[in-house]
Amino acid sequence: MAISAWVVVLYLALLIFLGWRGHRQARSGSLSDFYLAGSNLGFLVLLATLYASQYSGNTFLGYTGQAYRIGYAWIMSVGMMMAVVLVYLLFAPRLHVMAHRHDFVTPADFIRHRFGDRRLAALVSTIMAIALLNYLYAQFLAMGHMAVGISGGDVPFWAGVLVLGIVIGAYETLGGLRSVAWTDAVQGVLLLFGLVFVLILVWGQVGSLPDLTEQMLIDEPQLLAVPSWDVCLRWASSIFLLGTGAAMYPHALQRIYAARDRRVLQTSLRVMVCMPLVTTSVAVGIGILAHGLIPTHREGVAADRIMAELLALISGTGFTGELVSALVLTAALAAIMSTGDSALLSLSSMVARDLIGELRPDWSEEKLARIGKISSWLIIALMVIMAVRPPTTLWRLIEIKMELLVQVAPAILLGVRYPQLDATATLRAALVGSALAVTAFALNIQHIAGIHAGTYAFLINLGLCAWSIQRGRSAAGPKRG
Amino acid sequence: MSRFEVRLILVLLVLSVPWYFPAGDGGPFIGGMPLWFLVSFACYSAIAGIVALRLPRFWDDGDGD
Repeated sequence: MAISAWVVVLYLALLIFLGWRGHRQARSGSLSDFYLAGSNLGFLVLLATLYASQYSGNTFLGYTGQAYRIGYAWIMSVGMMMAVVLVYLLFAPRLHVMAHRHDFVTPADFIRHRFGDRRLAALVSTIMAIALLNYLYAQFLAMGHMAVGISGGDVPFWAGVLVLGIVIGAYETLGGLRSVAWTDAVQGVLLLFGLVFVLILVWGQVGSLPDLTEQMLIDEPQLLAVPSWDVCLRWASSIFLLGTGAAMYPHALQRIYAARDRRVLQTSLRVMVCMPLVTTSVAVGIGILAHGLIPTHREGVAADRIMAELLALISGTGFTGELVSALVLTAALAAIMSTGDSALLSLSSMVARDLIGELRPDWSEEKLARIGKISSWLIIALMVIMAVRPPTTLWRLIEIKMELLVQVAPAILLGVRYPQLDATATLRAALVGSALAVTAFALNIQHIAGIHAGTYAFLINLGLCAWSIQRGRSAAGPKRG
Repeated sequence: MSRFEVRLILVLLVLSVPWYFPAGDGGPFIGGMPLWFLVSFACYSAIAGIVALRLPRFWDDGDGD
């Protein structure tokens, strides 16, 4: 068996062990204990799980490919990832206090508490579930491709998806967020060091950056040029849309709930805001330097194959190269699995709390937690089937992710801060924003004047909510001193 | 929340997008990297530095409800 296969087998065994450790640490069978680790995550584990959830396999494979394809302008990805943390700062402090005070488990718990409106909570849960299904589906597809790649084709796609899905299901249902957070710690370390390793190795082989730049100015000057006005608009729109949308992922919100206290959350976010500088920008650097080793953008070579091509070059340099390549492949798999497990756990919590818990409010938390675990396995089965037999038509709706997810942002961003924002206005605004985003998607309108169609839908949604707040203030009349 | 720091972060975000650089081949280059890229990276580094060092000043948890 190749070195990479042994490293992956060891890594999967470690994940199962951590799942078992998480199971042993469980304090009760409550939803909060299972899905939020008793809202008692310390600094290092919270940081690791925030990091591993925000940076997925896409950072490894997609971002290096994008940097290779569009050049230095992909530094915009650093701004996109940093914006996610900046958006957290707008609502996380208040949401964290409220979550601890009122025992929130899912994002819809906040909506029910703040607005007292089940329709709005149902809409928010539905939008988040669609976004999570999309996210999870992408991770399962990526897991299958990684299994084929690492085994050199010996493991078929369906077997890779099935086995890795079972491993995720095992450690997730054993220990809930405790297991997921500990495995995230391993996965986060692998991701960070994997990227840095590749950067060092590729830079070592390329040699002088100024010499590479001279060559790129001759071969592909557009990769170095100042981005056009259109690219700049898309850059700004991406920071706005992705920063706001990704901060609304339910698993991200649940990590804000799960922080032990204010100090832990503050310290984690202080480090998280710096992570794009040592993660996303490293991926950008690798993509640029790849031009020194894979000089021309060959026809038929997809951008997301660039990392695989680099690893093939590295592994051909001897035993050390092969070992590093194996570790990096495992790191990429880890990044994919860490995102998948977080999305799965969050989906399962929403089934247990927001769906079954609302239908059967008399059922105990222990019973709901058991149902949540069963739902995890059912979701895994669905994902495996969808990955093996790719869906068409109706399921195409789940392709819409960030544009739809961002439509819940006003309810949370403004809801934590402005008591004048009422439920009906928020529901109408979210429906209008969602309808516009879905319509633009159905008509295949991605950008209008260089800006994402979802950004316009979000701004209209936000504007309607702001108008409602202003009306609430006017109705309350001027303050009397 | 400190208004000055919030405004500074917003200005840095706007400056991180190189819309104000004249079109060209990307030069001048410093250490092989285009100046506009380095300015953008510096803006993001400054934002990270401000938030990392001054986060308690941004931290507005109100009374939670």
